[in-house]
Amino acid sequence: MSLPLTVIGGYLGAGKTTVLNHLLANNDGLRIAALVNDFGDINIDADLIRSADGETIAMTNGCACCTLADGLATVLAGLRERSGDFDHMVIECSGVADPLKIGHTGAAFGFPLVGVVVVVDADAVRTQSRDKYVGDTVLRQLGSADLLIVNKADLVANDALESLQSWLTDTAPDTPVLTTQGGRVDTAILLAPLRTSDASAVEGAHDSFDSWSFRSDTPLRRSDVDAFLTALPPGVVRAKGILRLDDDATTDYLLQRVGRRTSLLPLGAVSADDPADTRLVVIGVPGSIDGELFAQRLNGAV
Amino acid sequence: MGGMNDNGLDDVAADLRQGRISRRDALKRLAALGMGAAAGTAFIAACDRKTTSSTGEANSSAGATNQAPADTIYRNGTVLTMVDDRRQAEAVAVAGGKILAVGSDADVMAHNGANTVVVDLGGHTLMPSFIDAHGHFMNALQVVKWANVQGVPAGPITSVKEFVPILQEHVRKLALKPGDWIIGYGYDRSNLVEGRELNVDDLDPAFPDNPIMLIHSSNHGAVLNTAAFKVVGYNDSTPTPAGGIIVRKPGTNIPAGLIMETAFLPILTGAPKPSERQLLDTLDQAQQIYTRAGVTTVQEGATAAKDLRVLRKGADEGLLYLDVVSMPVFLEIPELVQDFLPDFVGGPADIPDEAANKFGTYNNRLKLQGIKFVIDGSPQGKTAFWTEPLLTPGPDGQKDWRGQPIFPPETIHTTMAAVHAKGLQVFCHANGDAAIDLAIDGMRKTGVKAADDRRTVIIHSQCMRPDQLDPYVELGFSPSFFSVHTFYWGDEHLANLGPQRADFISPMASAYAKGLRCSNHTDFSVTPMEPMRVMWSSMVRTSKKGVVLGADERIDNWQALKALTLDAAWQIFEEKTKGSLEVGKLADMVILDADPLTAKPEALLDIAVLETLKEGKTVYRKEPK
Repeated sequence: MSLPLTVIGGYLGAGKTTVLNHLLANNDGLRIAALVNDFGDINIDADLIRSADGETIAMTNGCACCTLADGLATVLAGLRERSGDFDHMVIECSGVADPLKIGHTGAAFGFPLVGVVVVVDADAVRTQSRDKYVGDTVLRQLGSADLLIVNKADLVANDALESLQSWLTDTAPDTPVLTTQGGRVDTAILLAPLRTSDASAVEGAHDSFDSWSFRSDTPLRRSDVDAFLTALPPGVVRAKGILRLDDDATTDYLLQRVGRRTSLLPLGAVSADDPADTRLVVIGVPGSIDGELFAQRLNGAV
Repeated sequence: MGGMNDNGLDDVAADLRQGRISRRDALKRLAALGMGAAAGTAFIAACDRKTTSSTGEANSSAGATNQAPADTIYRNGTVLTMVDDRRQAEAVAVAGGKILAVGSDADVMAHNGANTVVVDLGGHTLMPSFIDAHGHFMNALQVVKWANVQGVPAGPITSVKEFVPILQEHVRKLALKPGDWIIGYGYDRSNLVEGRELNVDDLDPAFPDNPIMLIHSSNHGAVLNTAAFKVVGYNDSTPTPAGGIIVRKPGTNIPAGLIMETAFLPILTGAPKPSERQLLDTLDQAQQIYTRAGVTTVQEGATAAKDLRVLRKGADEGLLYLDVVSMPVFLEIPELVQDFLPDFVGGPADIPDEAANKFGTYNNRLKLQGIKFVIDGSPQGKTAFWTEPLLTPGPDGQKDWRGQPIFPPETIHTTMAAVHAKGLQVFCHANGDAAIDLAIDGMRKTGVKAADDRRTVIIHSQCMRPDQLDPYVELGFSPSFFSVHTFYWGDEHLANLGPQRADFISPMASAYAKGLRCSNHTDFSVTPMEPMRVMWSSMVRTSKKGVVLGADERIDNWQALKALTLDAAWQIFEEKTKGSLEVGKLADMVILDADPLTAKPEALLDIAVLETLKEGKTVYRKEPK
């Protein structure tokens, strides 16, 4: 299985690096390969640093941070050889990059894109979107997002936050929005480790989420899964699962959904005798989860 | 010269050299010119001793002189000094690699000592050699190992059938073995009369065993043959990646040849890279690209730290015989500090105070001159950054596309201010007018004024707006223009920008009218190293289809030549040693077979470089046909 790739984009100063720092320090057991433009703002706790050379910081929790000094393509080509050392790849984009294009580049090197996360500065993003130099670039970034993270929410008043929310809904329709501060986004939301036993609500730094889990020992119909995914409401920010499908009984599939992007990729071959054990977790903003309806869709009852 | 008839002596010497007269006849004629027998014998011996230039016959008139003797004197041709108030001279004397005298034939011949070689220019033109005002020397190290498959006139290609013989010749020249990669550069369908892409069926019969990669002129794709597709693992089950193109054979899923963007990037990254030693071994061939064109000061205009290590090693090993001027890219500053000042203690983005000491002087022919900033991409790739949208869709089909900066303005401005504050010269790549605005904003924030003489160079300055010229004057900017774009991509610019904006591309006449000093460049290897074509383009501004872009922006021969010589030297603070023929300057010179100052524009493209001299030493001489 190739390393799944999450891209973190957003304009300079939005807090991409703080989001990444938080992920690396709270990796939830995931060995994350993080690709960053420079180490300048990366602030890894000294206790977590196992070793460091010019281009790579290896961490005691299994994560590693690599600079893109030699160019994204070269670094990606090098990481292809080391896929087994990690569970997930995260690329932090430069402030004007189109994160979707960066995601496509990663995918071209064999790292399937599972999510484009764009971080915005709650206070600055609307001004930035009107800037004569970078306004259209900022808007393109918002348009590329599967999931938007409004950072520094503590720095703006509540009504301003609400007005920002509705502006984001107009600007990037159908894209779920999370609000946080200090770059704190739960790893389960961004990367969702494969852990389905925990069906309790996942606590975000600032928001609380609803969560729903599903388990089945009979293969699902592909058309039912497609229908279920298509009908997921925009409040669902994350889904992850291992699925067995009725038209391919010898393969386990990995389902990833980050914001509005869904990927369903073969995880690996299984024996036909191996009983199906589909497990799925869906996380969404409060009120977005209707477990009964979800289960009906997955079981083909709607 | 004792009243002797110099021309008479020259004639005798010339006749002797070419075997038209015997020594005895020569003595008779010398006697008739008033020379005694002993002096005549010495004269004939001196003629024998002296080397012959391909550009003319060596001559001598070993008369007594009070003046310092020259190593070489050039006379009997057109001498262009590139000095405004005395454009032409009759002769030039060189000693110790520097200009000893320049002026009238009589004044210069006063330096004709016993060991002076007098070169008869035979009516040819001697002038300062050209300065590469912006280009990428590291590309030269690569392309000497690649086949040129560019279209005419940058390369040889006009049709599909020409690729095989050209690649076969390349294989022969490089003695490639079966299995070795054949790499070509500059492929573009628009050059082919057939109007279709080259495909595997065109290449496979002749090259069943060698993988071929012909890199697209955009550098964003390539045509591969079947052997190459096997090596890289592309076949009929390879999905086309998002953001990429794999052209398939009609009715099948089999790769047909051309791959682009994300389908190409991993292939390019995986292609074999030359080792440092292999790069060093190509330094000679790479410099010959320049000497053949009459260029003796070469630019590496966007240097990565690892490339600078190669160049420094080459310099230390004595492998450079031309001057190489390097502008490291601003992103590389932390690594450069580590390489040059390893003991510096400071933040990763900090620049040591003593950094300026590493700039501005040659070490074994390698000089760091300033820091290179890159604000946008290229107009032909539609990755430049404009204020107003293009009339055509963006590179990915976007509507109302005006490009974007490559880095956030804040990043550029902060680093620009730091570089400027440490006394380093700023070289800033800006093609679109919005990118140029960013450069203006950034430098204005530093408080710089023209009187500070910092010579901030705005590389390309292509899509300027007329209102941007005054800030250039105010801030002491100097544009390095790219007028040859009007030829290579003029038709595309008209389509993308419309006539009003396209006509003001590289506005050299307007810039000169404002009193700006300008250079003009090839951006090698983006366009070939051809100073005469660059000059021609600035005088005619005619596209491939024959459309004139901005007739008002055409300049005259003199201005066009200065942008390739004295003003280009000035931009890199070398006007005291280069760019004109003046006493004390380096004897960096070129001999051309015709005078570019008086030539009609269309004749410029036929002017040939006969000889190139770096500090008086011949570094190129055209082989006689």
